Order: sequence, then C-alpha cells, then structure tokens
Amino acid sequence: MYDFIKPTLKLANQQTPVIIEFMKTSNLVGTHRQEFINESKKFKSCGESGYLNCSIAKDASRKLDFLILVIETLQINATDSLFLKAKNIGLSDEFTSRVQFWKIRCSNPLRKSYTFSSLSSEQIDSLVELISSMAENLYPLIRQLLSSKESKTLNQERWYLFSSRLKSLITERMNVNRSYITSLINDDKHEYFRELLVILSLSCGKGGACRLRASLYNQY
Amino acid sequence: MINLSYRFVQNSSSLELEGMPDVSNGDSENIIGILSSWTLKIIGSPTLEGEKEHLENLMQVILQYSRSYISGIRKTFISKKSIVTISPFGSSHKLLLNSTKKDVKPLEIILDDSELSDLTQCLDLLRFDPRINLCWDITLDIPFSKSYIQSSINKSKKRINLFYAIILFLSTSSLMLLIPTNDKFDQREPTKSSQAINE
Repeated sequence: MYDFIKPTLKLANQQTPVIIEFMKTSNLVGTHRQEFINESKKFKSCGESGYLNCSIAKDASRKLDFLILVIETLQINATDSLFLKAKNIGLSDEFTSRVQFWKIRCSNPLRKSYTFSSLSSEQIDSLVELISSMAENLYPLIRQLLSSKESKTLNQERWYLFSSRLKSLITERMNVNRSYITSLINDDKHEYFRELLVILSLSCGKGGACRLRASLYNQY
Repeated sequence: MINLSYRFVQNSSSLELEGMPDVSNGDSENIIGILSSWTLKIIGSPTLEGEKEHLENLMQVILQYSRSYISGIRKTFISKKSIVTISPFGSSHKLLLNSTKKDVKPLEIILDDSELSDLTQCLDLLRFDPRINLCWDITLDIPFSKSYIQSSINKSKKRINLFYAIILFLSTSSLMLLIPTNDKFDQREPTKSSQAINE
C-alpha cells in the first residue's frame, strides 16, 4: 500500500508522457521484468560494436541447436523455462512461440526436419542471449559434470545419466542416417558432449555471451 | 581517504580488489579508480597477490585462452613479459605464474574445466562491473578467421596423420617382404629349331 502511494504522490505534478514513462519503469509494472530487460540491454551492449568483415559460421546453427539440446538434457521441461526466460529477457515472439522456435531450430542441417534455412544475425544474437542466461541458471549442474575433483564413481554415474538422456534426444530429433550422428551416438568417450558443456560453462553471464557470440562468426 | 574493497566470488575462485576512487577522473564514492591491491584465491592453490599489471596479465591470458577454448582451439598463451602462461595439460589446463621478484620459483596451478570456467567468470564479473573504473589492456572477444581456426585445430591432427602414414608405409613394405619370390626359375637355352631358322 505504502509503495503504491509513494510514486502516485510523486507523479501528481508531472505531465502525462512522463507519467507513462514512469509507469513503464515503476514497481507497479513489475520490477522483476525490468531487471531482466536491463540485463538484456547490458548483453546487447557488447554486441553493438558489431563484427565488421565477418560472416556467420557454417556450424553456428548446429552448435546453437546442440547447446539447447544440452540444456534440455540438464533440465526436464526446459522448453517451458526457455520460453519464460525469452519472455523475461524481452526477446521477440519468435522465441516464445513453440512452432516458431522449432522452425528456428530446424535450421540445423543434422535434424530430421531440416528446413534448408539459415539463421539471421539477429536470431543468433537472441539465441546467444537465451542460452547464456539459461547456462547461468544451470551452471551448478554443468560444473558438477565438468569437475574432476569429485569422486569418480559419482562422476561416472552423472555422466551415464547425462549422456544416455542426450543420446536419446539426439536419436529422437536428429537424422540418424547421417554418419556424424551415428558416431555421436556410438561415441563412448563423449568428447563432443563434453565440448558442448565446456561451451555452456564459458558462455555464462555477460562476458560469456560475448565469447559465445564471437565463436559463432568468422572473419573474412 | 576512502578505501574500497570489492569481492568477486565464483565457486572455486574468489577475487578481492582494494582501491580508492580517482577523484581527478570524476569517480563517485563507491567506484574504484585506483587499484591498490588484489588477492586471488583458487581452492587448492596458494593465494595470489600483486600489482595491477599482474592482474592485467592474468586477465589477458585467461580470457584469450577461454575465447579460443570456446571455439575448440587449445593452444598456449603467454602474457607480455611472460609473467603468466596458460597451456593445455592433458584434459586440464596448466597456469604458470612467474614472479617478478628474484629467487622465487614459478608457481604452477593445474585447473580442470570447471575451475577454468570459474576463474573466467570471476574475471568477467570484474571487467563488466560498473563499480570498477579501471582501464584494462585486454583483447576484445572477436571472431577468428576460418584459416586460423583450421590451422589451430588441425595441427595435432596433421601430426597424427603423418605418424599413421609412416606406420602404414612400414607395415605394408614389411608385408611385401614376406611375399615369397621364386629364385630357382630355369633359364632355358634357346631351342635348336629356332637356331636353325635363324641360320
């Protein structure tokens, strides 16, 4: 009650546009959302410099799709969390609609339902933001899998659970006739899975998002 | 004089900075503009301390290494004046710190992937913190060229390929040696009938 009265009194003498502007940023609209929007602005600031004389890397869509697949492996019902996060960060409707999001992910040529489309730099930037903030939430789990300081048996158990779930997701969604996918499924060393986890761990936070974004482009 | 202290903690790494606002630069009360000391604690290794230059060298090396690692490149990075070196060490990473003081042995720290990402995130927190107004001489996160990535990734593969080629050559040539050769073939003289014809 007190919080509500305070800004109202302050706004009593202000002009209408100012009031609207204040309403957008005030606690009445929702501080949590504002926090995320501010965060997203921060994220964009590192990419705003733009990459001159750069092109999107060939494996960018594949890498991003696999990173989301790892997120889905680590968290059950991760897609719902992804949509919620996308909404909180302030991403476009493309990232909050299931169908649109699936279409974006189908730009991965290794998928069963490959759409022969490519990602735009805006889509890449948004996906990087989304992955980076999801990785930050899942960091304790990622860290556990990457750590070599914990007991071997426990680590092996964790890796078994993680790899079997990821492999089942891969067989479900990827084109199994492709030799690369078969090699991923049959790989017992899980080298690529580990690589994906390392990428996720290094892409947490603002600095991590900048790093991940840079890795998805190539200089001419 | 206001003495400020900020701590950046990320699981196994903890970085503490002490300093004061640079009033001549227009820093407000809660901003560090002049760094007086820093302390880095990594679990399982000795505490690191030094001047701004040392921290800058550490940041240069760690952030460049992480940037390369995210692109799948594993190579050694050495800071200016060779104070800090980081190189791949099996599946882990070896951080070598040379002291600027004489008669002090270099310190070696082995980091696994989780510790490396902790340290990287800790340094990320520092470089993007608005409360720290220090100029860092750090290479920005920029994309690599295709040729650079290919040359960096394929170096070890090229060596392995050469090794396999040599082994394959030796094994096939030794197999060829095992094939029996017929040394006792008859060298027949030309027949008489043919001689007669010639005559």
